[in-house]
Amino acid sequence: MKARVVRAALRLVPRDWRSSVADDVMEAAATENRGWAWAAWQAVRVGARMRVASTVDSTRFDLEYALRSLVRARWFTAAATLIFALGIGVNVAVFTAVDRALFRKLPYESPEQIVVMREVDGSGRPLGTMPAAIALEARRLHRGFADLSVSGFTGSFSLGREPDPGGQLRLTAVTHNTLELLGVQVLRGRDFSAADATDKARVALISFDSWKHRFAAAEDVVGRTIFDWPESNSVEIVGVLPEHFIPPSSFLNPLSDGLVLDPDTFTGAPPTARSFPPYVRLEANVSIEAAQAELNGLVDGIRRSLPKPADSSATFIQLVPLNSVLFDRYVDYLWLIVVAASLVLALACANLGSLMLVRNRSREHLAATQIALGAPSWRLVRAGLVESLLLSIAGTALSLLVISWSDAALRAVLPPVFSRYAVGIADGRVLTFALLTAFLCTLVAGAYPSWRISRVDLLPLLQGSERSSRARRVVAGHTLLVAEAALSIILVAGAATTVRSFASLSRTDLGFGPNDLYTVVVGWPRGIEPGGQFQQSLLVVQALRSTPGVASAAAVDINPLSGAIGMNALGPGLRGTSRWRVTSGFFEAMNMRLVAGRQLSGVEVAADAPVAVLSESGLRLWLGLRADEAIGKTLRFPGEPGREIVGVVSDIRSSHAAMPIRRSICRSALTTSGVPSSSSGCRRERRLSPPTSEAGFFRLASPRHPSRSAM
Amino acid sequence: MAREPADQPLLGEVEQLVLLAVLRLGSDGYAVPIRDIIRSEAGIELSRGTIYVTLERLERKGYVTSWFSDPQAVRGGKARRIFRLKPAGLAAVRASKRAIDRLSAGTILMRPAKELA
Repeated sequence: MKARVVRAALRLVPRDWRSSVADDVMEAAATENRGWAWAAWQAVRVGARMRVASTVDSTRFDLEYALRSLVRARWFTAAATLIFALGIGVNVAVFTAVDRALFRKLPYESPEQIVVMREVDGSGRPLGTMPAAIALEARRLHRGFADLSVSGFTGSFSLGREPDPGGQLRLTAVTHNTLELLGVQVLRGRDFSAADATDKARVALISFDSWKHRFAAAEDVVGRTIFDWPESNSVEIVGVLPEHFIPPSSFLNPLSDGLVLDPDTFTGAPPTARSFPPYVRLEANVSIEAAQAELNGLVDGIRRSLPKPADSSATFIQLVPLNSVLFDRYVDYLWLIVVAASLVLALACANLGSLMLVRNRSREHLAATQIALGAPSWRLVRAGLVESLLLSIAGTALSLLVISWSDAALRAVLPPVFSRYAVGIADGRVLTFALLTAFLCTLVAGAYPSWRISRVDLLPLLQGSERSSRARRVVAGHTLLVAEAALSIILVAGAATTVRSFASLSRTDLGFGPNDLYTVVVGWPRGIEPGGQFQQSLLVVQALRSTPGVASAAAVDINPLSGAIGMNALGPGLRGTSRWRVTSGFFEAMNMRLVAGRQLSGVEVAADAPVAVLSESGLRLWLGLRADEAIGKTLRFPGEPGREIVGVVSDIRSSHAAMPIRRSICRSALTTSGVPSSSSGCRRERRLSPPTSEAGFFRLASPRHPSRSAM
Repeated sequence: MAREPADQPLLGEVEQLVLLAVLRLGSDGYAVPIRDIIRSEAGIELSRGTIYVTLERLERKGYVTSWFSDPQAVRGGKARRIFRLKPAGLAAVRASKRAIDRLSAGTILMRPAKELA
């Protein structure tokens, strides 16, 4: 038994040295009067030391050999490095863009416990807002809610009272408990407090990037003043948010530069007010399902205590994980990109494998000689893998270098929703991913060629004949070629499909002419009455029209291209419909197709005449007539006088060409007190809600960019 | 004094010690006395593993050669792996010593120990 233990320990020692070490150890044990356990331990120590030294020595030898070999074959090395750099670089670049959405946890404390409470209609479609009273009562009564917070509008702020040439800061209005709910600490300064909300303080927290770039990382940024736009009220910066902070919201808002305190949501909301979907931190031991069950019971009671809404269509209050709300809409597209990038990597590896197989042909004699001299197969495999590893590391380094150089350009071509939250290559996860990809490439590209060369047919090679080994080489080469061809076909097919989709998308009839069309956003301070706003709009339009090079100009209450079309529904029960108040010349400026009838005239607009122009889909929905038959008919919507249809125009698509067309009607832009303005909503009285705004459109006569002075 | 070009790869400190020990032991150079002589003469305690690793490296570099001796003349006596310096090993030791001597020339290291004290 004792001798067996010592023999087992001695198996660690390389075979050539085993008997010598055994003798020496046993002799030492006898001389020093030690037992078998000591001898076994000494054998283990010697064996481990020799194994480590042997591995280090042979690896160093393999590295030096591979380096020398790669330096000699410099064209092969350059090609292989470039191929690896392409495959790995594409994947690392994609990883930096998708990591935040697909793999990384939100940068909050226990983010899985944070949910968004939102209202959905009967078909499960989320609505942009929900009854504020339900949010507030649920915050008070729900036993599973640790806290509830609300993010509102994102408004514009400037660093001085005058317009800022560096662009405005966009701050999102939030309730005072937002950071506390998220479990996020400010980097500098302090968080909002309940006292701030009570005192209606005008305070803000700016993002790390804004602090760094807009304030040059100033030490004294806390306490500085910024001004809201266009009212120029001062707001004090009380802190700086941590790096990589994501402002919580009911949707991913990549354009937010920080937070500004909304002191009113928890105090001043009337019973009928609607708020943005709040987010909720659940108690640690409460699941979403349990919280939803309790919420359902609460909501029924709260609804009974509220005034009956004008729109009585059934809606439901739903709790959804915050991560899903922020990223779910992008997940399918992101996975598609990840798969495409993986295919590029697979193709690169297959290419590399082919190159290495071809290169190994010229080294078969050498390999045969090494094997004939007693080199074990695994040493040849390892030497091949080390060479492949060096190539993939060189490719990785090159790709990281290129990505770091082109970081700004890459971010410029990415949509803001990805570029804003893309991580840099200095990030630990990105570097780990790059290294793992390099090792994967090493194995995928290098394993088969290395194994093949360790199995060369010695005899014919050493005798100068290659006949017997050729058959196997051909089969192997064919396999790799087939793999390469298959991957290439998949990639080309994917690229062709993408190009076809893009071409099809670019041919989509937007319903307006986007070329040479420019938008001017005009904000009005809250004090100006709607009538005054209209007069001001006309002045802006007149100024635009008199600008040299401007072919036509017009104004509209809400930019139909901005996607904010949910705000101007025609009335209760008419979701999916829109109303735009326009000035004369709107259809001409937008280059919309007039299907029948005529446009609104300047006189009709100025007099707020009871006339309107329908879109084609609106015509089908409300009148079900042919376009020419609809002219002269009268349409009446709840709370409005009847309007004579004077024209029918093409449908237009808004910010997203894939969005459903809104059934719409356009009327004159003059807002009278008797007509409910659906754009006011519950937030009209809030101090920090954005001022009402209008969009001016103008079309240039010639395709050139307008100068700033002309604007 | 003109310097010779460094055509000999530099020896590590442990390699120097082991080569010198093998040189001292002559035909009795196997692992146990090598370790003992380094401990007794140089006052440096090297582990058994270090001795074996160094001997293996020196043999791979062609500085020493080894063979198995006849079994010892005792009951159950085993053959020992004996090491002896090859000419390349001797040259390497010489080169190392020369380098040290040149560097030490003119320094207080060359004075008698009494003076240093």
